[in-house]
Amino acid sequence: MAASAAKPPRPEPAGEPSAEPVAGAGRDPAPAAAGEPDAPGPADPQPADPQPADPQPADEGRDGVHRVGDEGDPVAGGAVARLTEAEAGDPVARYVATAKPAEGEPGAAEGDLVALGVAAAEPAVAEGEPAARDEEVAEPDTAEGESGARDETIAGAGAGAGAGEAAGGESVTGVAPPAEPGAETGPVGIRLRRVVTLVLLAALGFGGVVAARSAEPSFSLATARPDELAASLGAIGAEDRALATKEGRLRREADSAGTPGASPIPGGASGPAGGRGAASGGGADAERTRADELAILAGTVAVSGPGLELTIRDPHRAVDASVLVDALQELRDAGAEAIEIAGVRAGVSTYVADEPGRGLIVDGTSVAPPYVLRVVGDAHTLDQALRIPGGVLDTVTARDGAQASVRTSEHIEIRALRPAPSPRYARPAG
Amino acid sequence: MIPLLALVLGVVAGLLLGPTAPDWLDPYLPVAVVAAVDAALGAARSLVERTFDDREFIVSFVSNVVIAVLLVLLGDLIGFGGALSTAVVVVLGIRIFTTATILRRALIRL
Repeated sequence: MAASAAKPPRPEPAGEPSAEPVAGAGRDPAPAAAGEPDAPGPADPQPADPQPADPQPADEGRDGVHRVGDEGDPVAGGAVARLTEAEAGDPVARYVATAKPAEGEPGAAEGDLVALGVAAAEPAVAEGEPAARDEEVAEPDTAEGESGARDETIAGAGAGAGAGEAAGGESVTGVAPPAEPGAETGPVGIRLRRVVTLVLLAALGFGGVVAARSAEPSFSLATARPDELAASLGAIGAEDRALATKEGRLRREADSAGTPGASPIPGGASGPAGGRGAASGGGADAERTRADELAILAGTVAVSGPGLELTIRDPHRAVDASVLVDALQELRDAGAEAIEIAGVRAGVSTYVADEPGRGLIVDGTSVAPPYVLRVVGDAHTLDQALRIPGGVLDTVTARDGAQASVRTSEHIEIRALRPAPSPRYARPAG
Repeated sequence: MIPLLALVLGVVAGLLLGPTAPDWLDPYLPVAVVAAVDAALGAARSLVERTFDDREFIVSFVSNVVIAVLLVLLGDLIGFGGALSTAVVVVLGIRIFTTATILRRALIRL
């Protein structure tokens, strides 16, 4: 504040004339900015009373007072400080004192979006300010002393919302003018603030980039919509089939090139078997392996392996054939390699029919609930397939009184067999 | 100049590190950025007007961001969804334009 007191001699020639119009321009917007917390009401009567009573200098002093009153907290700091200067008796100091809060006011008003009308008064303020400030810049001390007034302007420009907080801090520092510069603007404090400012700016840049990045349409399975998931699944399936086809072709090439004796093994689905066949190299071994695979497919041998057991309890005979057909199809889709339905080994020609009043017919055999399906395959995949929303388990549970339970196991044994198919008409071609 | 460098540094760091915002931050980050831009523009304006004070900038920056985020959070909590974030962005956008206008006038005048 002592710095501010030192300032007046300088702005005297330029500052005086320029400050006056600013003060005038500033006074008007203050009441005009009705949206602002300043109360035009108290502002007017205050200067009105002392004006006639006191001569010119006193009037100036009052001006400062009135500003303290009408601006509320934001200007309080600067205005009080200035008031003390004004009382020092230098008329220029008073002019400056009145001019500064005036600047602060429109600044705050501009910050407030509602007070658009104030914008009209801005050009005048903008004009006045540079003129008044030019001298101050020349003198660093002055700049410091004025932080009060600056605070207000920034508070207005920066955050209408933040102004409240900022104002709180200011009024405290402003009321005790001598303490302010020493305590708050120590070299360490200034440096710290400067660093924080830079850090905040860097954070702004960083945050902007991060926001821009996360705004990019990134495809995340967790947040994708069902149709997007379906499209993605379709694409993956197509890719999978293409790869399987390619694998089969490459495997056949490898077989014919590496082990001439081995019979070509169909690629694709029988990938692991093909690998075994190629490794064993012996024609007889490959034939046996292939026969085993076909036997498992046809259901003519007992099998064991990981899988699950699906039990459907149906006390009210509410589960019909369609449910079991759906379950069978779902399990096949999920990669089941052997399936037993209620004691009947399922094969390619397996059918399920309703038997009214008694239960179901599976491949000609009457079965009654509970129906136990034993499946060998990848237990986790099978389990998930059954648990799909709206899938087998949901369908069963929706039936009257029916319940379904799944038990996965590392060892599922299927002993039921099918009669070996004996095609009467079809013969291997070629 | 140095503040600009800091800004650029932040952008470069963001580009190089390429972090992805956690999901829960998704609704708030854009609003926070807009609020921060508003504060930064306000600071630029006060720089031009030679009324800049870094303490003020820090306070207004932080409070701007916090309040914007809190508003959006409130909107989420009471069921406005994204509406309140739109409101915040609109208001801040108007402010940014106002500040930019002042900034432009001041710069051209200087």
